[in-house]
Amino acid sequence: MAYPGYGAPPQAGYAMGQQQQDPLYGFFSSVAGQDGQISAEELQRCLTQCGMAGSYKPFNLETCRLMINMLDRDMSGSMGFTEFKELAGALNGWKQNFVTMDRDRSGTIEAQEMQQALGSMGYNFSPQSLGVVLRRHSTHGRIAFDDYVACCVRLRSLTDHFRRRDSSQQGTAAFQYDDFIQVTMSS
Amino acid sequence: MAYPGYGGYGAPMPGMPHQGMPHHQGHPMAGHPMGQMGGQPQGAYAQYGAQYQGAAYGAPPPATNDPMYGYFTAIAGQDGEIDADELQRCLTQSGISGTYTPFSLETCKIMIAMLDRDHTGKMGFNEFKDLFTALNGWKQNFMMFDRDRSGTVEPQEMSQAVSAMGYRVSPQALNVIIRRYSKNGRVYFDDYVACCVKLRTLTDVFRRRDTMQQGAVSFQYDDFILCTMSI
Repeated sequence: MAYPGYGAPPQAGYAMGQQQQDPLYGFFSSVAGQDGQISAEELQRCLTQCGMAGSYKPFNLETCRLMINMLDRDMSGSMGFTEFKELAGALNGWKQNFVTMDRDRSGTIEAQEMQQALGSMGYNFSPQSLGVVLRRHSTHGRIAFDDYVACCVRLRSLTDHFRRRDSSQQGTAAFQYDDFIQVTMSS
Repeated sequence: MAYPGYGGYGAPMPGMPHQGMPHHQGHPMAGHPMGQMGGQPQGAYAQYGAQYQGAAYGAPPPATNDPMYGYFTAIAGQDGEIDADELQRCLTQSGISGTYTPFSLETCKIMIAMLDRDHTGKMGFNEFKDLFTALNGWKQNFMMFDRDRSGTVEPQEMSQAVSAMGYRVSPQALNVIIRRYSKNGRVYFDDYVACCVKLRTLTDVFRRRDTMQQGAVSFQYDDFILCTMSI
């Protein structure tokens, strides 16, 4: 079974020299400080400063926490520059998608448009699952940019965890309770 | 395999036999009032069973002299249901947070999701009552550890609070939980409640699929997404 919706593939590692020439590096390092890692709060500032949300409202802290978790392979609770670049790539892709659908520039899209967006990312959920996803990530019946990004991040993260446990790639994965809690409480 | 601690949102009543779950040691339980949902607990599963009895659909109309009904209807309006914003107002007005900061909108959203059995995205009065009971239980538990009434607990105390509710998870899982719900190295009441809501919902979801009671579930992808994205 194909696993959909991974968006941008992971970026190759950067050589130090390359990093410093990267325009995003400026935003990143001004926030990251000495340790070269950013927390959820710092990520929120960083994304706001570099205008990632465009004319949309800045990201919720909660959404930033989800973003850190999505890429936090070393379970450190913080994000380095390479991970940040990967995130920026994914965010740009998702934003393009959203902007295309948000024709009236209201900052929100309808459930139907969200469904189309998920479909175009390769997700193919049952009506029941789709309904659950949409309801959880909407505000007053519409999906704001932040809701949409949080949804994309979570779907990607959970799908990633699932896929790694689906050894026969049949669309089935076994979870022990403890593992299930670790995966779901961080996503 | 040993059955893991599926816990609940309140400790078992003192003196009640606790089937298949090791009782948390080194923690004062006597005289500790915990919110229970309907019925008497008879071990971990009974707590969950009781939770679904007599709730929501087909239940008799709420007693209009129920004080909680006042808060609820003042806000619910015509359809008798409240959304996350209204729930936030309702809970703030009821003063359930006490001296702690009121619940964030995000926490209210997941509270609705926790009890949203008819998938309306809103909460009716009976669900609201169930929530209130759970919140009282969780608050009592939190207050046991927030001795200085700062509205926060330390990471270690958060681990103890999670264990006190009956959850048996690895130190690794506890670390994940603490990292997820800490702010500046402490856990605030609102985040603690969000954690309780998620733990309860996810545990419930897992348990209902663990038909062999082995502490393991084989998920189909679509169902996995349904379960995990709902909360």
